[in-house]
Amino acid sequence: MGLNDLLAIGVLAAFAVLLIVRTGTERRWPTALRALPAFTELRRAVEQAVEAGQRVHLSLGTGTLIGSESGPALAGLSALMRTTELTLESDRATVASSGSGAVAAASQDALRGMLGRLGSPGLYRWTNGRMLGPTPFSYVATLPTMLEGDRVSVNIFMGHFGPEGALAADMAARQKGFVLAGTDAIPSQALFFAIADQPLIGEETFALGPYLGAGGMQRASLRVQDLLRVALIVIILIGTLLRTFGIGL
Amino acid sequence: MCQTENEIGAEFCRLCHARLPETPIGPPPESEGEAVSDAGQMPDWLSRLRQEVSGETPSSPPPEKPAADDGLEWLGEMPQVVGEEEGPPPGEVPEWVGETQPPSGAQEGEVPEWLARIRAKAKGSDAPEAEGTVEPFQEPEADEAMAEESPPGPPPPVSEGAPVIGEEQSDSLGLPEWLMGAQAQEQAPEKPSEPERPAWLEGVTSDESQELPRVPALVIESDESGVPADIDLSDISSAIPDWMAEDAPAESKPDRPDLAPATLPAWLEAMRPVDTFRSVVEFDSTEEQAVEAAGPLAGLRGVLLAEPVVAMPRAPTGETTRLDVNEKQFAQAELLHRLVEQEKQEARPRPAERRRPGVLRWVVGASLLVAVGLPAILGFPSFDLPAFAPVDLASLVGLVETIPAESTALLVFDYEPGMTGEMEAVTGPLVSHLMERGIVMATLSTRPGGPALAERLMARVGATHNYIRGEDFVHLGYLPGGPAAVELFATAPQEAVPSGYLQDPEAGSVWESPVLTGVQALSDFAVLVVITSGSDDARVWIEQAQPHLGGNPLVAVVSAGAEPLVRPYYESTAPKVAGMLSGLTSATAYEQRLGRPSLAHARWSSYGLGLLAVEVLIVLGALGGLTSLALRLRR
Amino acid sequence: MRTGLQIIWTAIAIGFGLIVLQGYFIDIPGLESLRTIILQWAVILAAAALLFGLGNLMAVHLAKIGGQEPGWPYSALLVVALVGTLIVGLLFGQESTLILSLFQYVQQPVEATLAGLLAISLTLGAVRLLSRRRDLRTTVFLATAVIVMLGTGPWLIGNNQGFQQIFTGARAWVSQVWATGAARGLLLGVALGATATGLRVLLGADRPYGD
Repeated sequence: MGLNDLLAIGVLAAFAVLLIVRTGTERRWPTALRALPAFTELRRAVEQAVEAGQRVHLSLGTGTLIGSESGPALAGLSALMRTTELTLESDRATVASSGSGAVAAASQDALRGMLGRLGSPGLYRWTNGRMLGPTPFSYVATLPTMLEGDRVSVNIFMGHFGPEGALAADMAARQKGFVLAGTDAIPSQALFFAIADQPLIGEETFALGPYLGAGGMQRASLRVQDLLRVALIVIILIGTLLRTFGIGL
Repeated sequence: MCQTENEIGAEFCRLCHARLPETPIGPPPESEGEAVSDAGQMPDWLSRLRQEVSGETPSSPPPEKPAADDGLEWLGEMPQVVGEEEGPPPGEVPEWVGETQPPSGAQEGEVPEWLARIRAKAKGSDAPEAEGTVEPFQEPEADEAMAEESPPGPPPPVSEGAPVIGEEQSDSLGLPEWLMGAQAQEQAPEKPSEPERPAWLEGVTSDESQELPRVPALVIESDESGVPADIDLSDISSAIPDWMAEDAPAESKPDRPDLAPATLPAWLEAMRPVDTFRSVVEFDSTEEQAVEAAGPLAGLRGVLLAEPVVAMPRAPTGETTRLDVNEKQFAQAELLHRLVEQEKQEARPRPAERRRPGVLRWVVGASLLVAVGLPAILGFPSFDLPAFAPVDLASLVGLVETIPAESTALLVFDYEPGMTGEMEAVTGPLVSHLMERGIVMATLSTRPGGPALAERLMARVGATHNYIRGEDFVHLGYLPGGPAAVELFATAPQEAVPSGYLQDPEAGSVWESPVLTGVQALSDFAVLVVITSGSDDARVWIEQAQPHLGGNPLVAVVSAGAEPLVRPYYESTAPKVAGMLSGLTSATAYEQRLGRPSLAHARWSSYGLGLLAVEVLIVLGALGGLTSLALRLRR
Repeated sequence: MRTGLQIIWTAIAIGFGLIVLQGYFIDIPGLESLRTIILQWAVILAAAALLFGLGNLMAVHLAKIGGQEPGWPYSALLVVALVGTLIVGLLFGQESTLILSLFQYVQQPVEATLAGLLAISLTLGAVRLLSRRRDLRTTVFLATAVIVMLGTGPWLIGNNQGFQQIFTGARAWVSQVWATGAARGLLLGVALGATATGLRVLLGADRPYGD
């Protein structure tokens, strides 16, 4: 175990401790969320979809549940649960799509679990968590049929996407639906910026849950992320200055 | 009228706002059936109104308070219902007052037959007649007897639900005196004499059509005892007020002239569209009346059904529009109207936020198609080849030159079939260079379509170098499991990929192929080439596999879009990527350097004109956006 | 009973996550082999999940065909293609010429066409961008895109050394300094977000699974 490993363990442990402590103090000092137009628009669009009897579609991306792609997929599943809660009164339940069988299974599980926690297990339909295609472009090819057939008016793209994500977002936009898109892949974020109604940049992708009303640790984690980001900036600046003055690390 | 229990002395029901039968608060009359003067029982506020309108003086003074020593002091502590504050403010005369004739005199308590029978039973025995039945109302005489026997003291608890009813109320069935007057008017067909008509009622017609509709308060399908056969009221008898219990049997015999039907208050009557509403309210015979299906009155027949009253379409009439609305009510109505309108607005389907004309899409598509297709088909226009080779290319070429001949390279094909257009053109010169060097190769992919893509490229490039599958290159095939599988492969390649792709079955395992002779671990490969269109795949291989290479180089072949994110691994002080090839420009320069023009050269002009078309379209679009903004601002 | 199951599932998720996580930092022989086994399970489950996904795909589209829902002919085409390819693969093997031909002459062109459509969609999005969002960020985005494209591709006027050098230098400066720096900053934010999400799952606060 080298220095880097120790450093990584330390950062993770500090993250976890801060997360727990901040969650404990969340009730006393609640995290204030800055206004993000994307999430404000999303809430409004979801409410309108519920009122109009139209469906909310959450795309969990074309990535898998293993490795680095699992981060945005888990964030998407968390957003799926919140969206399910928001659209509980709707005539049409939220539908989740993905390009991976594992993510599709996880989405079905998340839907079933959330509806059970909300006391409406009878509303669960296994067809509301779907795998559209096993490859990224086959996922995109199947998407328009689903959007049209299910009367989707709100599209949330939240997961790992390659360039095919931009095409999917464009197909959703062509159905005259609201499109909010976020992913962990930086090039795809640039593509979403040109296509989506409301693109999410960087860590905003992981903030959807708290902005949709999730509390507790989800809100606390945003504050901890900010804290660690500031710490990283300070460390990077110090390292750059030391390097500039010829002090090796 | 509903069955809501109201406070003693309340004039209107707190739920349905119907006028409640008046409850005597003062001392009971001295004798049963004594004639009561109309003025004597008239509320103070009504007397005051009459004075204001006609200038008459009350014919008798207000009732005196009971003496302190009559043994009923506690009655004086009860809230006074007939007070000044209970009537309307001076100057306001309710409509129903104008329609109500002054009572002509006392009503003789004409005892109905069923009442006489019950009284007879009550005198004979205090016990209920039969189990499961309940006396519909409290026997007045029994009450009186109990009042005489009980010593002076506090009254029974109010929760008993039985307001104090004297003999007089037993005759009038709990109706107040003013209502008794109206009842007398009905019973007597002849009109009251003119002198009895006060001056303040002059001009008020007594047209029958304008009379208040008589709506029975409670109609119970009763048997002989006045209790519905299918309802056991034994458990709730104490919760039913006596006046209601008295009304029930009275309503079951509507033809009894001595029983006064209930009436609607004026304000409720004014809100009611009489012409259309009457057909709903008028009751059929008891057998034809519907049974209430929901609510606290469920199971009762003939009650006011809420649903037809609410749901029945009705036409507005002249009377209904003449509402006296004060500012507060108007403000509340406005608020309700606004809320309903807002709800309608929210329910409206969301309009499309932006128009997406198909024309522009077609224009853009056609422009790009022409721009890309024209050079490919006609060879015009033609662009000059890059004059300068990218800096990265020289180091990559040098790296390939240092790889020992006959060594084995591992090529990872991690891109989608849709990206073959760019990736095959970029990868081609590197593979060609490796083949020139005589390096044998194994391919691998973490995508299901990857092995087929590898075969496609290797077959095309290998044809020019006489490379044969199985002898000069092999396919390890598909590595399922994503990043986790990459880590597994990095630690134990032969366990992660037990069988190859397009491998001759007779040749045994792919690992027994001459290409992979001596390869036991990842570090046995002389070079690892990661070919991907996305930065994430490159990052996975760099982070998971590079540490297991044992110092051998890792080369990244990426699309132009992924280059900025892979470059830090290449340009860092301790680079994890030894060589880098990205984009069609670098590939074209590579082919130039090798002297083997191939796909990159063939696509160079199409690429150039396509890029130019995109640039022009974007600039035009931006100008259009700015122009529309300027025009909008000018307007 | 339900709460007990919930605790068990949460504990399993936390336990497996911690075992895999520690393997990145600490070399404990017993735990390392356990971690390898868990990773192998994950790989097998991912492959099995593909079958599950295909089953899900089939069932959804069969239901659509059965209900004659809008677009059901497309669903029928999908089912026929899926079943046909499956049968061919099972009969002749995945490395047969027929399967390779299907891949080369059907799947690859279709996906390449979709990638071409992506170019059209992106161009169209960029053309409309300033009409939809008129702000500084959008303006900088478009200007950067144009500069990078001018520095990337060949010029119609040929190898004009002066202009080409200027735009090539500008492109390198934008993509290798600004874009790379910004991307690294964004990646740090993404990494922090992903770490927070993973930790919430590990701590049992987020339970994106059934009870």
